[in-house]
Amino acid sequence: MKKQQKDENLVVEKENANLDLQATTKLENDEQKNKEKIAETKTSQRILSIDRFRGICMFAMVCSFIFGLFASFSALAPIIEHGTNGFQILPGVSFADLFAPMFIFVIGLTIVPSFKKREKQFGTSRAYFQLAVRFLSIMGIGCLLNGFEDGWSDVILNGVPFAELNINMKIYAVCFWIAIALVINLIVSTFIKNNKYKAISKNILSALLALCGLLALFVIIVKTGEKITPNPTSPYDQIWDTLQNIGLAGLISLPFIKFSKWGKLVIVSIILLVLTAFIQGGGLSLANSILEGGFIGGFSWACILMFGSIFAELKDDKRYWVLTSMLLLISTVLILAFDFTAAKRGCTPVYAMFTTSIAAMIWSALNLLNNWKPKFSFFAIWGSNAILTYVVNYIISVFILGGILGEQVSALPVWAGILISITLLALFTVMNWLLKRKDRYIRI
Amino acid sequence: MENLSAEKNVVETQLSQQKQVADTQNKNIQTKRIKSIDRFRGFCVFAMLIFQFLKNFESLGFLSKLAEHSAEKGGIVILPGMTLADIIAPAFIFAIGLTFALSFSKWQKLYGTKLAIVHYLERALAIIGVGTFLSLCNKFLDSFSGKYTFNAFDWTVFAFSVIALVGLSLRLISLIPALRNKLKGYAEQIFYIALSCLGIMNIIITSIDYAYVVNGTGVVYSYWVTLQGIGFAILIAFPFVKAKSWVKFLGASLITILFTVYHQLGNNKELLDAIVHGGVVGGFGWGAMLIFDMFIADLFFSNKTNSLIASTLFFAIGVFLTQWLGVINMGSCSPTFILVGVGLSGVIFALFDCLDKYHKSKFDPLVWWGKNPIIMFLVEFFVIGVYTQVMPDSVIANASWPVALIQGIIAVVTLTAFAYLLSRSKKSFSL
Repeated sequence: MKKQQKDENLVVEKENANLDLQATTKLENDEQKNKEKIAETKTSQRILSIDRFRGICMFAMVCSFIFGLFASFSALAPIIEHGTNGFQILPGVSFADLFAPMFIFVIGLTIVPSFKKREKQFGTSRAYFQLAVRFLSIMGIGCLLNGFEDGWSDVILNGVPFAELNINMKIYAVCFWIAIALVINLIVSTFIKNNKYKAISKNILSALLALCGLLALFVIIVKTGEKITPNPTSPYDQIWDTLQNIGLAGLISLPFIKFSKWGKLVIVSIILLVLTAFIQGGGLSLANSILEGGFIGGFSWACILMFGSIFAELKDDKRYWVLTSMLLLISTVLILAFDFTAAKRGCTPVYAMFTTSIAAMIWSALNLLNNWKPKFSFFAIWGSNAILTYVVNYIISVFILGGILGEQVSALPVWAGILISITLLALFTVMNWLLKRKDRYIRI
Repeated sequence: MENLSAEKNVVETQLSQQKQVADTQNKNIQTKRIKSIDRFRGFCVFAMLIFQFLKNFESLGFLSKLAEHSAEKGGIVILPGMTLADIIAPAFIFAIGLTFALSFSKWQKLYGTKLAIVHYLERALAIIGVGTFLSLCNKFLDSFSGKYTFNAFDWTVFAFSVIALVGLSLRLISLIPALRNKLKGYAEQIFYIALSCLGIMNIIITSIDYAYVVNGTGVVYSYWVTLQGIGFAILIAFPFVKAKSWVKFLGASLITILFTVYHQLGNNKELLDAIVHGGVVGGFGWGAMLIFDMFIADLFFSNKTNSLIASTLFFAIGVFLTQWLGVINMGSCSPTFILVGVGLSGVIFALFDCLDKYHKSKFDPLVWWGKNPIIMFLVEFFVIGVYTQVMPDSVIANASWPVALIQGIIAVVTLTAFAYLLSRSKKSFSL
């Protein structure tokens, strides 16, 4: 009996020990899961200074579009005009010229974390592929907007026969409507509880945008070649704008994304040195013959983007300010003492260096405000959905108010201009605020 | 009585111990020289003296233009309105700024605040006084060739210079051990007071000169050159010597802003340009420069990276502002010159400091040059200056380049050897 009881006791003790072990293991697992969750939350947490900086850039860009619509706002011309027409910060660099590089700098701030996140989820090759598609899609969106603005406006407003449009313009113009249909389809897919359908809809849209981007890349290389060897019977239109430029900068910097900050700095220095030799050696006319420098300027914009990723890594390092001050010094001395050409159009290397240093200074200042988190953070709201803001602004300000209603809007008195401007800015604020409140971020 | 004598012994022992501690501290402070600062100062002195000597030989091409301040006369332009020679004076001021606060603290520790203040004020005035004496020597030489006639002020300066020379002679005599205790104190006071009087007189007369310039009469007395500018800058910067870094920065910024407003108004820039380095009014700009230098020195001693960043930003902002405030003009001590002078000097010093860790050899000529700047300055003035005046044109102005080069090399070697001997004998002369 005693032995049996002893055995039973032993079994109970063993079971208890097992239960303890299980409980401990479960606790450890829970802790692990919690840690992973915290880590995930941390990685997905948005850095306020980046959103704010992006918001400042978007706000400035939208303002420059809106203010430019009204002839009565001519007094504001110095702050919204580009190049030599605007208020000169440096010879050839206007106040308005600072914002596009700042926006690309902000992309650079987030590109490495974005790549690492994808790499962790899908592996290195797929991460590269996804980012390449992303940048091509950004180029594609730019082309489709141009297809809408330049292609259809010529056909509808100016009576140009569709057949007379160049081949790439025709493709973009047609694809614009296909893309609209696909976007509607994608919106509809969010209401249908079928993940496969949603994924297919998303992929088709991405593929269309990326293919348009690929075509844009091919055309810009051809057009750059045609600037050197003119071709009067070229079948292609020179279609190049801000989004194409951003996409190209991303594509050029993509192969170097896994480099260390010093590796990137070496690459950036080599690119800038070669470009400086090219621009100062008489290549400026070629570079600035296409908006933002086209294919050649894309390398300078890529440098700004890579600088962004370098500065992101140096964020809490003293060398952040060494690099900033050095860039400011070198660019200022080269521009003012040695007459190096600084121009947004063509994105000359000294312009890239100067604007990068300004962007780095502003981001550093914004980082000091990261602990200040008001409920309504105006610029953080503006920076939360940049691509959507850009597209909506493009359609409203460029196509509708600047294109279809261009003459009427331009002739409006100051009070009407102020009223429309405030209304539009308020609408954009509300749109971004609502999306941010619901944690909805439109990404490509 | 025994108690009293015992107490006396204890007090004497304590006093001698305190003296020993003070001496040890003094020695420690003296031995802890930062080589990069000496080297940087040496570079400034070398550049000032040798480049100035090479300026006499036309046949040496660009080497003869290294000390040329005027772009029109072939000076080597490095930045808008600024030649290579223009950076040497701000760099020398920077070298002063690097050690000013440390040096003052040393004096304060050893002799108390009151004596330290008196010493440093006297020292600044004495630097101006030495400059005044050198200017008088130039006028004296000119009067021999009939180019200049002495006026009442020149004779007054002459009288005080004689007193200063008497003081100097007594100082030399006091080196004899038997006369040391009797003479040394008086000799120093005579020397310093005479030089300080010369300094004060110069500040007043240069202010009067500026009033003449403003009235349209033009410069009458002309007693303001490099040493006077440096001395006056020290006077302006002196109230900030013990201030915190941010106070120095704010003070210098305030002086720079006020000076900028004055400089940019009307034709003030041209008026300031009429007197060397802007005269007394321009001296406020030089003073601001020295205070900024002291601010960067504070950063350097707490964190070298921060001092490099600050220098680079000063430099960049200075160049940047040339768009609106005009070119970098040393003559009027333009605001852009103040900022670039501080920044560029800081960047050059950072280079020296960076190379410091690679320099292990005992052969360090720039350190020798940097240890006794005043003696080197005087030697250059009296030896090289007299040499270039006395020698015929065929040997100086019209010399062929090999002859000129040989003279240049001899000057470099001789002066370096002299600096080495001074350095080795650990003899230093400071005001």
